[in-house]
Amino acid sequence: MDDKKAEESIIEAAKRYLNSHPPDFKLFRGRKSYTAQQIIEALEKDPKFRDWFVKNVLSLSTEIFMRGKK
Amino acid sequence: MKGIFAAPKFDEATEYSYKWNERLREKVGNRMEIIPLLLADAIRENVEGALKDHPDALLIHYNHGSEDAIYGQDERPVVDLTNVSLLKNREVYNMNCLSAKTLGKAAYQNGCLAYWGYVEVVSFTTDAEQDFCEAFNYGFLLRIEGKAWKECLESTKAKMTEIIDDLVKRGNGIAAMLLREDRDALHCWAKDVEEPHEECPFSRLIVSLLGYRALSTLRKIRNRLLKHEPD
Repeated sequence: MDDKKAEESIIEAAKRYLNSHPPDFKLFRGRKSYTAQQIIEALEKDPKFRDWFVKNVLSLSTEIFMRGKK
Repeated sequence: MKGIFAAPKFDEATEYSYKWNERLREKVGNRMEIIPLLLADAIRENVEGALKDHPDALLIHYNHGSEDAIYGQDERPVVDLTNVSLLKNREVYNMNCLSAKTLGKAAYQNGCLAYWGYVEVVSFTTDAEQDFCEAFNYGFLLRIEGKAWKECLESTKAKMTEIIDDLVKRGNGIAAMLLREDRDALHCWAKDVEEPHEECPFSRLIVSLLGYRALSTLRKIRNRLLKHEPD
């Protein structure tokens, strides 16, 4: 799987995951806040947000992978 | 032990930081003297006054921050590079974005004993706000138990890792990934913990000759001219 496909699969998984969140869910990043729907929109339209999100998913999964079974 | 607790509340994000500061005050209220600068009282003049009146007090700030400032109720800085000398000989505990990056370094260079804070934007989710609260308050609770800052930092990062694992187990991947980022952005500038060091020899020269404020100003000018991302 190339990098682009890996990124796409992370985004698709994130969208499915976020669709199951309650409407009062919010993510705060500094002064900005996002509902689950706004995160999905930002993943589709905002390349900076998308890069930040994918980088964080990869960092967390790498960390868990390197720590062994979790 | 005395602590000046500066906690404004003026937007949705600061409703949470205020709530977390409130929980911290409830936990430490019987173990230290609290000097509250809350809501409308959390403005620059009052913070400066309290710092001058209580040279032995810690400063605890929960609200928005930027690389070179921490903010008050009126969204003006309560501490920035122009009054950073007020942090001399005291310890500072922050739950705000970015301020450990430049302000924290400058504070340490100006004689601050310890500056606890984050070098990146802080993130959290509402569905795990109690977990984030626990993580953000943990270091201060250790400090008032008398632990050294080095131990506070190491134990807090370990606690954050524990919470991250728990969030993963509970299926809360987004909160886990944000707390991982917050954990890695947490720094404590203090002797024997982390001491600021400029990699660039030119930056080191400017700091030694003119101080951090001059370096920060030059970097802002450079960023504007070259449209760089802030560093």
